[in-house]
Amino acid sequence: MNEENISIQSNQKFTSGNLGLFVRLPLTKHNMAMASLLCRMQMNESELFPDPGVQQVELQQRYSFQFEAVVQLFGKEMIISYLANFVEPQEILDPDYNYRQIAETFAGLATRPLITPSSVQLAQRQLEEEYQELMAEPSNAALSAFFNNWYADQPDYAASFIGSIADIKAATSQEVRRFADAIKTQASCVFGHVYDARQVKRLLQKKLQEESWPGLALEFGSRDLLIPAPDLRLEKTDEQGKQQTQLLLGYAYKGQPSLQDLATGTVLRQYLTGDQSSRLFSKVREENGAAYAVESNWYADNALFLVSAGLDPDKLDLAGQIIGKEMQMVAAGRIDPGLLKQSRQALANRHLLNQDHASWLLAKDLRYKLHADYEDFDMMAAVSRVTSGRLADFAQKLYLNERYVLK
Amino acid sequence: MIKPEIIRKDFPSGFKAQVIRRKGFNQRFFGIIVDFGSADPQPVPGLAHFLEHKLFAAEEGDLSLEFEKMGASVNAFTAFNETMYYASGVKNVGPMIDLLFKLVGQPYFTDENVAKEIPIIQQELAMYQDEPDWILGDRLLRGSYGDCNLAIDVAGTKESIASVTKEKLQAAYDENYVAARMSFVACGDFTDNQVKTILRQARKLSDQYLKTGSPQKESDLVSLLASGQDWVLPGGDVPLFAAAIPLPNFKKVLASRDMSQILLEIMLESKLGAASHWFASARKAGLVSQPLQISVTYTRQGAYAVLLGMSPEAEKLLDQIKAELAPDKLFTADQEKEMRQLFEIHKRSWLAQTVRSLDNLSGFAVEMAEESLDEEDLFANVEQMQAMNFADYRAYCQKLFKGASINTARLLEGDEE
Repeated sequence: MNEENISIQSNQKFTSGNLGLFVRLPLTKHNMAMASLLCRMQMNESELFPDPGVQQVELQQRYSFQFEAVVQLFGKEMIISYLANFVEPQEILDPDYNYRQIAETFAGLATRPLITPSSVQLAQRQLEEEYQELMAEPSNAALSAFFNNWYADQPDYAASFIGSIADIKAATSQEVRRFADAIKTQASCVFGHVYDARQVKRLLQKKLQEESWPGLALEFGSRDLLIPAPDLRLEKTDEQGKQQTQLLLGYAYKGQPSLQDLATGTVLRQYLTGDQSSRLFSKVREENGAAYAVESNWYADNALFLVSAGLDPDKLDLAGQIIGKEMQMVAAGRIDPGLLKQSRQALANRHLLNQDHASWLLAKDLRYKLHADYEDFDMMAAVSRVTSGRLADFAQKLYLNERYVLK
Repeated sequence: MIKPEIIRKDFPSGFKAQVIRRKGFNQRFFGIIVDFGSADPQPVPGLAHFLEHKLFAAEEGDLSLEFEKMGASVNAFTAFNETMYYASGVKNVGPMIDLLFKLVGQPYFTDENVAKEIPIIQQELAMYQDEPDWILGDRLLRGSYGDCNLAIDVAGTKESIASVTKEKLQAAYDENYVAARMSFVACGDFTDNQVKTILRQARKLSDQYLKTGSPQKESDLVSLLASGQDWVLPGGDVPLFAAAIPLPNFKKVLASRDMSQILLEIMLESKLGAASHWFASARKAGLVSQPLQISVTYTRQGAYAVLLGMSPEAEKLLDQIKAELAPDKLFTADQEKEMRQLFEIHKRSWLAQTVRSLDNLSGFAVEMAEESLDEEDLFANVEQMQAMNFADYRAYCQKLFKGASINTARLLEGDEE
């Protein structure tokens, strides 16, 4: 076990503790489907609690111990995240509820899946239903279609949400077993924020050694996450007969974003759609009543800056023009200096507020460990260096690569 | 469980204030809650929600921008019986509180700004209506209670939103935004001196901005339009179903409506939740694969439980749910062992949720503000619940559920009705 791959920090302010075991593996269509299936199975039942009802009861007995197994995407890599949130034993003072029980429960749930034909079938049914429900929401359906277009020539990267439902439905228990055995050998790490960090680290190390998880000895970080943007220049419209029209404008970033670009893209996101003063919020919503909300996201590992909104169908073209014009204005350096300053300040404040959320701290641990080049990167310092010139330079490297509309 | 320190003040105007101290947190949260929401009497459905949107308007422009300039974020929500405005940030505590009181205390309604808000709120409603379960909830509540404010979406209807005028907004504001119907909450890592300063400021600003008036009246319960009704709705892509169970007046059973809500949620979870034998059987029979979403809501106008789920054979599953919740089946002798065990587990789980809620500063402050209006005491309820025995729990649930009937709705895949 690599000592650096298990890091538990002391938390003195939260009433609940958080633990995460993270496994990195290449993003492929097959891996995504298998990981979604395995995660769902593990949330249902385990060798420790070999029935969904039993697992429910046992976790609730442990003061509503919360366990989640989810898949996250970071460019070319995917992370299986096993996450636990539990009430700190000192809040309860029940002698039967202690860190030993918590460590055993977490390690057991994360490392010992119950793989039988019936456990596979249950998870398959659940995922199929969940997929149907997700896709019935226009914003999700639009996002899924957007990524299918974006990665039409690289289908391994197209999976959004839970992956290929056809692959999930076709999986057998033998395949899931092989996959579950294989992930133990993939680079893994553990993070936690708990009251008594030393004790929890010792207990977890012991349990994970017993469970034999060789991936914990491997280097977790990666320097090759970026998926360069494909050259598409695509416009596509689908119809579903919904009340709102979903507009997604995907701007590709030319080249490889630097660490400073990571911060600059985040500032651009705040400047355009971060809050009610932001440019697109005020233009699209307040001035034109075209939408209730407009959003943007900077997927640095995908070289993609995405702007999206659920719109009044009659104002689709107007909103599209406003967004396009604003992007052009930023690229031309016509930037509101007061709003830019406010955007940097808002991000600095949010950074402080985020530290009040244990789940954010865990997610930050993961991001920094995974991106090997983040080691000495100070995101807030980089944000403070974003000037109008930097923002304009960044926007000049963006070009509209996909315009997707779902009516 | 370590209880946070809460300092409360009731002012002569009827306005209430409380400061909750949470050590080590960076966030400073401030909120003002108003005892008026979408289900309360108002000339058109959705007016309370429209008011919530429009109070951000000031003569000099949108007050949200003023909050953002000082590094704070601001938002609001409308529920059935309350509307809450809240701001948070890491500094500028005094100016943030000043601005929050100005927001709720100095309305600025014009024909122009009202007209501008109409399409925005219509888009908000359209966004909700595109969600696959919206149609089920709408049909169930409107089918059960008729086209009353309790049943219609918090945002109103497209038509009712379009009919809002500045005069209607002003009248609803004058009647409901009075000191006796409002309460202030602050939550964060405050020193003793800051606590005193915040409470002094809250008193001064409430006196400055808020008119006196009478507390909100208890309302007559909305009468039921239909019971035992089953609706089949066309055009669903997803085999969703829902059941609504209108419930009698909680106040007649327990002094605390929160407690009534929790006991019924525990009972429904024990009967139909993921840990129940009923759910295991339904799952094994292939009728359901994911746990039902179970919630109990109470308002001045009525209380009801809602169950939401997905099933390839929803009609059959709903029949089984109805059978399981029949009055003589709630606590049968053959289920007693399981019901006892699950009661103890859910008690423990609820204690844990309360402990956890302290980590979410905003959520906890909102909950405490709601409790202040409803005169509830979360920590007293926690103690009462931990001390409650199974016989009392059973007796309360039977009374709370007495005479309850079930209405159901399900989506039929495809366009067939």
